[in-house]
Amino acid sequence: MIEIVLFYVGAVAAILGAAGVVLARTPLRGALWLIFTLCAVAVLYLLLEAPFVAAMQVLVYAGAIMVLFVFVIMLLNLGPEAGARPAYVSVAKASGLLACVYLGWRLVAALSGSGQKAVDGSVKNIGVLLVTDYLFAFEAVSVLLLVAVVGAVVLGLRRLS
Amino acid sequence: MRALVDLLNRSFAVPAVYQPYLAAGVIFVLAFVIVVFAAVYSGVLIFAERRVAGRIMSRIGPNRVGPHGLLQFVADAVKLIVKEDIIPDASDRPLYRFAPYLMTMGVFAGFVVLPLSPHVIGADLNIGLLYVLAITAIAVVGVLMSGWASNSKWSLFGGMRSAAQIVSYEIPNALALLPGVLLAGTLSTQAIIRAQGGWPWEWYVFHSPMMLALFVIYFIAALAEGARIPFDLPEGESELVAGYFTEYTGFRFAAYFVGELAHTWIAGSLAVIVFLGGWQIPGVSVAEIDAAQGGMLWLYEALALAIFVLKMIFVVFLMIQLRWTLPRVRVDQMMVICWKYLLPITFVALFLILGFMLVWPWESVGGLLWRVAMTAVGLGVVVVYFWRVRYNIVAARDRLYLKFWI
Amino acid sequence: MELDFLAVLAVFVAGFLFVFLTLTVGKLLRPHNPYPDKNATYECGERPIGEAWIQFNPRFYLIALIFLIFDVEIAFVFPIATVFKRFIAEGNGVLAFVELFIFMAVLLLGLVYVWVKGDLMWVKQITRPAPVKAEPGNPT
Repeated sequence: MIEIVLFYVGAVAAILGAAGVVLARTPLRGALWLIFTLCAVAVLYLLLEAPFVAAMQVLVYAGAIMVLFVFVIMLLNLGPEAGARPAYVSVAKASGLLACVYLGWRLVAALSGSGQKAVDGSVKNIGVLLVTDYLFAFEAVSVLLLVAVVGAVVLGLRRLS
Repeated sequence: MRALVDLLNRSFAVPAVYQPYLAAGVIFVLAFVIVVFAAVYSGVLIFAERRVAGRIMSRIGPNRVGPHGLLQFVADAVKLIVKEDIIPDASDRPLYRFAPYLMTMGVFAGFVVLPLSPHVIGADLNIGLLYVLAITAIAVVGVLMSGWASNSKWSLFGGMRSAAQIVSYEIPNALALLPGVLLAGTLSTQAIIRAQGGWPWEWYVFHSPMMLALFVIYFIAALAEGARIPFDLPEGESELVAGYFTEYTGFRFAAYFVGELAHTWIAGSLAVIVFLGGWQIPGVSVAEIDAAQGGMLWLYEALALAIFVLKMIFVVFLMIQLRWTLPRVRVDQMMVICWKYLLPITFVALFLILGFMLVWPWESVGGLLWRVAMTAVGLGVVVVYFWRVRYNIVAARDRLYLKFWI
Repeated sequence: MELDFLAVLAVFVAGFLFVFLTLTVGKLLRPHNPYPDKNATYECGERPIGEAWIQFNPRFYLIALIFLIFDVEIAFVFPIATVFKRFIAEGNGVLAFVELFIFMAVLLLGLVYVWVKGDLMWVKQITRPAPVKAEPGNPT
């Protein structure tokens, strides 16, 4: 009972938030709406019995990536006047809508009647899997992150000089 | 929360149909209790802070409103509520109005997983520690939003600096808590406490020399996370007016203050939970507490609560004392401290602890000897601390006013 | 399980209501008398010059990016930390240790790289060939 109510609350909140991101007049308001959406999606993860993913969603996305977004918005100096509408905006709108419909259709097609059994999403299980089955991926991620650091520094240097 | 729901269900023989509604009701009442607790705590803290500041600076401090000035914070709150709410014309109005909510909501939500005793806890989430780290990240966004939405240069600089500081120190902050998870093998706050013991040599802080170092690192990082002196540069009055809340007035301004003050509880109790043994009662094992019934249970609960609060007072007092002792660090020093000192030391300490756990497991004799030795070291530190305080007091006896009550 | 997370949601709502209700009550009590001078942005008593929404120092962006990377590292290390003790008990402690060590050492390498490149310095000396075009004043 509570689960169903929470699901609808989370789902509606996520969709409203996503609409807010698109419709926001300034980039920063859009960023705020994005946080709202990400938190709503975190609620959905909780309902899927994946508390760790939910916590990561809030920690990494709503926390870290949002700070990064805001810094980038400030770096690019996207004030309120940045809302000037370029000519191709109606094309962008139409194609966005089309992509949305397609994605929705694919999702419904993929999920309807599949009835997949949920796997154990507990933190401990994730920890065990990371150092056993997915060890290579786990170590590869560290290299990937290293590359990201180097890339950030190189890009930052170019901007500075 | 769980315990209370179970207790109510059992004592009133609630039919199964109504149990979810009862649980939901209890949860929402408890949520308000938690929020009121956080708000009152920040009020009491500001009183303690001003009073301790008075003593450290050899003056009196607030003593007019209520007995010994204890109700000063109520007066302050009333004053802030009836102040005009000024919203600058140049600001981004909706964002400006909403930003304080993010700050308070983020900090208050952190209180849910912080226990006071074996049964007094909002909700014992199985991702407890990560949850606290994640949820307080939302407050950062509030800070950034307020800085940007004010459209004031001071606010913007304050907000940017604050965000840079908080995100930088979040790394050593989180990694310093990691050994607690390593040793307890869980993220739940209650389970981490349960894995420790009542006596100091059963606390994680004395597990190994590296652990003691990590405790210090955690403390420094927590100070920076809460933007407390010596890391209060986001709101450094002498350079940034008031930082990100320069433009705020009235209760919106107070909301930031409540958030910052309440954050000391989160920072302090994480230190107590992960490093200082939480509510564990010396000489009473967890099994005994679990098995206790009736009066004994209440006695243990009260004892555990008192022990936890005592430890909290010690940690928070240390924060207050540091606030009135140290000068503010510069912005470049702040960055250097985090990235060039705290972070490498944390990493090395973590590697060493991983190795330490392999060589001397918790239960082994070697591990116990290490812990006893480290407890002696810790005791030495505490003794030196009190000795220095006493020395300073004696040296300045004639210029000091030390009576607590006025 | 759901109950526990419902408590989190409830505290969020309660925290929101705490600020909202206090502001609403305050609205009945507090004066409301705005005029342009009062609502002006504070700039040390002077009339504010221009907007505050200026281009910001890219250094903040770099710090945020490095933070993000270490944050992801935390996301990976915490779950493993919860089972490290179990691995020791099963006799696979050394293996888990080596795996964690490699993961964290590689990331530490990233920190060393940033350090050597001097990006951790707040006041950075740019010892590069003269910039192509003058940078507009970047206050920090």
